[in-house]
Amino acid sequence: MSFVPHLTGRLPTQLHPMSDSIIEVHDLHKTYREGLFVRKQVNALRGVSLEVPRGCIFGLLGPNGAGKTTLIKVLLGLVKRSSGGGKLLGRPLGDRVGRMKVGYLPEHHRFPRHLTGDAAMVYYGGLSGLSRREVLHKRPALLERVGLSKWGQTPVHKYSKGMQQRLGIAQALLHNPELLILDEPTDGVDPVGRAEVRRLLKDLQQEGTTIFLNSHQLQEIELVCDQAAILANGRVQKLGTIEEITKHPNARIEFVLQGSLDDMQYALTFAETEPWQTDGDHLARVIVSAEDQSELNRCVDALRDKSINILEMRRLRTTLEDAFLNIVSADTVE
Amino acid sequence: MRPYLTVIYDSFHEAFVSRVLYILLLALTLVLLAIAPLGYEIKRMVQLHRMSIRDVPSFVNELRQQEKSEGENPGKRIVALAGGPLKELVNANEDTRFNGNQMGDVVDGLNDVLAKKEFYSEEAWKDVKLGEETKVLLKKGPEELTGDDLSYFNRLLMRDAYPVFLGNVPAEQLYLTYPLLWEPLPLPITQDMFEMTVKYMLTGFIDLFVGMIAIFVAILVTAPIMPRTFEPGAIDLLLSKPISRSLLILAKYLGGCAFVLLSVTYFLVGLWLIVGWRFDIWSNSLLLCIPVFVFQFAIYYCVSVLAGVMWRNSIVSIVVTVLFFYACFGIGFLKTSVFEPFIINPTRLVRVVDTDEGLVGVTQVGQFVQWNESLNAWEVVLQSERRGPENFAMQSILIGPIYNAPTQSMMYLQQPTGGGPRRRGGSTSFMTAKWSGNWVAEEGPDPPTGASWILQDAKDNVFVVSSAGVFLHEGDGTQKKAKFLGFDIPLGGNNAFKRLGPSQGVPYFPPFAAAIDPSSDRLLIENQGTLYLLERDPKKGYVVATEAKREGEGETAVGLTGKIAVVADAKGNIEIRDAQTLEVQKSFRPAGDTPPSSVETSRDGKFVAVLFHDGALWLYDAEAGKGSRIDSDASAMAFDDDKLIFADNKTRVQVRSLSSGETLETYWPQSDWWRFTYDWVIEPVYYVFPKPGELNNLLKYLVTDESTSSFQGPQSTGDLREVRMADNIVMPVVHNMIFICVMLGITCFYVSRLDL
Repeated sequence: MSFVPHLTGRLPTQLHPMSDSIIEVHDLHKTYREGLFVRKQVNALRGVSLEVPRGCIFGLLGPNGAGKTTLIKVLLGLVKRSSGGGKLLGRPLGDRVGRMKVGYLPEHHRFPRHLTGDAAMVYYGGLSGLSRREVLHKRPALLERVGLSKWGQTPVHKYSKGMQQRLGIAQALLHNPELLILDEPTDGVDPVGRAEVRRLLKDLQQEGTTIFLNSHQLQEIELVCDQAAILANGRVQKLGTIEEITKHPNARIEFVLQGSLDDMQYALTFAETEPWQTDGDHLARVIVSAEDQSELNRCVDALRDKSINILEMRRLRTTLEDAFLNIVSADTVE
Repeated sequence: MRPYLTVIYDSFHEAFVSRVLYILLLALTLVLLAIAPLGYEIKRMVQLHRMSIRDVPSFVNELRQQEKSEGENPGKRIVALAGGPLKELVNANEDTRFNGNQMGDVVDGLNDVLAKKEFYSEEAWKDVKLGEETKVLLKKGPEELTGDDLSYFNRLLMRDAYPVFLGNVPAEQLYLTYPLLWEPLPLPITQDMFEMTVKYMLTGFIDLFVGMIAIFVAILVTAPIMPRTFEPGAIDLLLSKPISRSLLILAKYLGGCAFVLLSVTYFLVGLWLIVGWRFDIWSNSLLLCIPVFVFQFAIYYCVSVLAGVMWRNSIVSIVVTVLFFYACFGIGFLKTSVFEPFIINPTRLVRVVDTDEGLVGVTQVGQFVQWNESLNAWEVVLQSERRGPENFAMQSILIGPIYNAPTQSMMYLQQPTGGGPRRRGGSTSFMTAKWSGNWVAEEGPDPPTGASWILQDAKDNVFVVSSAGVFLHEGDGTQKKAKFLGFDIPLGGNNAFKRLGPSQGVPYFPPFAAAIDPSSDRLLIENQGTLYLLERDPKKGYVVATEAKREGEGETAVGLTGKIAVVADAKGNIEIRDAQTLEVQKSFRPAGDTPPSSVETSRDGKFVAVLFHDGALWLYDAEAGKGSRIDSDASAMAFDDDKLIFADNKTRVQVRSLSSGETLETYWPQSDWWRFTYDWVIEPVYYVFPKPGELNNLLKYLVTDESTSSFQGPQSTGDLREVRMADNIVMPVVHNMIFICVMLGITCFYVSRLDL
C-alpha cells in the first residue's frame, strides 16, 4: 500500500496507484452566489485536485475560509460543485450509494434534543440502513470505545461538548464505514480525550478504515496523519506526507559559538544566516542555512580558522506549524 | 425504506419525549370527559313547544272561527280554559302578525289547558274523530287521570281536534340530560329527527373543534419540525447518510401528518364511542372523518413545510401558514359570501314560464324578470313580496307561477318557508299577475290551509293542492275582501276554492309532492311514502284510483303523463312507474346523491325532465325509454309544447326543440362589471386555489349523508323546491390533492437544489 500523496502533475506516475484511491477530485470549483438582486460571488474552491489512498489517515489543513468544510460537503454531496469532478469510493461525488460506506462527523454538529445517547445511536443507525437489532448489538461496544458507556441513557442536550464529539464519532462508526470523514473531531475535547481519539483513529486505521481528518490542531495532524493537504484560498497549496511538507529545502544548522563576535560574523560572511543572538561579548547563537554538507564544512572551517570555539552544533527540523505558516503567509503575500 | 421509517418513527418519538403529544392527548381526553355525561331521555309528550304547532296564525284563526261559531267545540274549550294572553290573541284583529313572544303565549296557553281536568267535554268532541289511544284512555275515565297522564290525554284530544296543526306532534318527547348540572332539557325535535340532529351537531362540533382549533394547535406544534431539521449541524449529519433529500422531506411530512392522525383518531374514536354509548347512534361515518381532518391538516402543513425549509424559522413558518389560511378563507369568502349572495344568486333564475307576452323568469330572490331584446338583458317586471331580513336568498318558496292563458295571468302561491317565518308571519298567499302593458300583481283570496301546489290541467283549470286535499280555483282569482273602517272584513268563508276531494289519504303533511298530467286532469300525490293516483269523478270529485307504497321515505318530486309516473326522491333516485298501476318499471340515478328540485312533463307526455340541485338537467324520452343528461349548470326549466326551456346559473336561457334536440333560441344577457369580475377573476382564482375550508362539505356529507345545503338551514322544511346549493364534495378534494402535490414538489425541488 502506498502512502505517497499526489499533487496532480507533480509526482511521478509510478507512485500514483489510481485504482486504490478512496477519494479523487479533479479541478474542483465551487462558487457560492449570494444576494437576491445584487449577486455576490464567493469562490470557495478554485480547482482543487487531490487523491486520498485507501487505508491512510489524511489531514486537511488550512486557515479559516480556506474551503476545507466546503470540500468535505462537496465530497458528500451536501453542496453542489460548480465544476470539476471526482469520485468517492469509486462512485460519483454525492452519490447515495457512495455515502453508504462513509461515516461523517460534521463540525459543530447538533443532535436532536429529544434523543438520549442510546436513542441517537438507534436513530442514526436506522438512517444508515441498519436494523434496530444490529444497532443494539453494536451500540454497547461502540459507546465503550468512545468512553460513553455510562452515558447512554442521558439526554444528549445534557452532554458536554467533548461528549457530543465522542457520540458523533460513535454514530459515524455504527455501520463500519470504509471512509471516516471527521471535521474537527477533537474540538472541545480535553487533552486526555484527544489522546484517546488519536489512539482510536490509529486503531481504526489498523482495522482498514481510511480517515479524512479536517482539523485546526496541527500537532494532532502531525501526530496521526500519514499525509496531509494544505488548503488556502480554495487551492491546494501543499500535498504530501508530513515529512515532505515539513522538509526544508536547505539544512538549518544551529551553532553556539564562543569568541570574538566580529570574527564570527566575518567568518560566516559567505553563509546565509538568520538573525544573530548574542549573550555577552563572547557567546553567540546563530542559525545557518546550508545547501549541502560541503557548505557546512566550509562554515566550520572558516570558524575554526578564526579560532572560534564551536560549543554546540545541531541540525534543526521544521515543524508542521512552521511549514503551514510559511505556506499560508506566502499565499497571503501572493 | 428503513431510513425513512426511522424518520417517521422519530417524529413520534420526538412528540412523545417533548410531551406535546401527552398534553394534546390530555386536552382531548378532558374534552371527551366533558362530553361523556351528555345523554337523552324519552318521555311521553305532555307539553307542547313552538315546533309542535304548524302554522300558528292559521291555528289561532281556526280557534277564532270556532270561538265565534255556535255550540260547543274544542276551540271554545281551549279559549275558555287558556290564560289571558292566548284569549287576547284569539280575540284580536285577524291580521295580527305574530312575533316570538306571541307565539310563546300561544304555546303557554295551550300548555295551561293541558293540565286542566275539565278540558274534555263529550259535547265539544262529538264531531271529532278520536284516535285509538284517546279512546282507550277515555274508556278508563279521564276523571281518574292526574299529572302527566292527564296532560297526555288532553294533548291527544287536542291533536285529534286539530290534526292539520297538531297532527305531527309525536307521542314522545326527547330530553337532553347532563347529570348534576341541569334538569333534563326538552328538545324541540322528534325522535325521527333526533339522529339527524345529533349528526348535524356532531358535524358542527368536530368541524369547529377539530377542523379549526385542533388543526391550528397541530400547525403550531408541527411548525418547528422542518426548521429544526434544517438547523446547521443537524442537516449535515442527516444528509450525509445514504438518504434522498426528497424522500427525507416526504418522510418528515408524513411524520407530522402521522402525529395528527394519532391525535385525531384518538379524539374521534372517543367521540364515536361516547355518541354510540350515550345516544345509541353508532355513526360509523364519523370514523371516516379521521382521514378528512388529516387531509385538511396536510394542506396547511405542506405550506408550513415549504416555509420552514425556505426560511428555517418556526415563527415565519407559522405566520406564512396562517396567512395562507386567511388567503384561502378570503377568496372563499369573496366568492361565497360576497359575490354569490349579493351579485350572482339574486339574479339566478329559479323558474321560467312562457307567457303570451314573452319569456318570464323568477329570480332566486323572487323578482319576476322578462327578457328585453333591445337591452339584451333581463328586466325586472314584478317584485314579489319578500319576507325576513335576508334579501339574498329566496325567503319564501314561490309556488308556480303557472301561466293561465284564458285569463292572461300568471298565478302563483307565495308561502313563507318553514320554521320561524311561517309561524310568525301569516300564511300562504294566492297571487295573480295580469298583463296590462306591464305585469301587475294582486293578492287573491286566501288559499286553503297548507296550500302547497298550484297546477293547471289540459283545459286550463287551476287547482291548488293543500293539506286538506285538491281545490279547484273558481272565479278570476281577484276576489277582494270587504273593507270597513280600514279593516279587512272576512265575508264568511272562502268561496274561491272548491274542494274536490279526495276523502282517502288526507290530510297531506307538507312537504308532500303533487303533479298533474298536463294532457288530462289526473293527479299524482306523494305523501309520507305513499303515492296516490287521483282521478276526477264528475260527482265525487277526486278519488284515489291507485295507491302504492314507496320503498323509501323522505321528500320527493313527482311527475305524471298519460303513460308514466315519475318519482324522484331526495337521494337522487328516479323511478319510472306505470301511470295506471304505479308499479315501478325502471329506475335511474343520473346525478348521484343530489336531490331533485323539480320534475316537469311535456304536454304530450312524451318527455319528462328532472332538474337537480347541482344543476344537472335530465331529460327522459318516455317513448324510447331512455334518459340523458342535457345540461350540468341548469337552474330552472319548463316545457312549452314541443320545446324545453331551461336557464343556467349565468341567467342564460336556451330553448331547445324536443323533436330535433336543436337549440332554437338563446337568451344570453350581457355581463356587467360585477358578473365579469366574478366569471373571470373570482371563479378562476377560486378554482385553482386550494379549498381546505370546503372539506367541511365532505365532512357533512359523510356524517349526515346530505349532499346539498338549504339556505333555510335548520329551519328548512325539507321541501325540495327550497333553494338549495349542491355542496362541492369531490372538487375540493381533487384540488387540495393537486395543491399538496405541487407544494411538496416545489419543496423537494428547492431542497434538492439547496447548498447546505
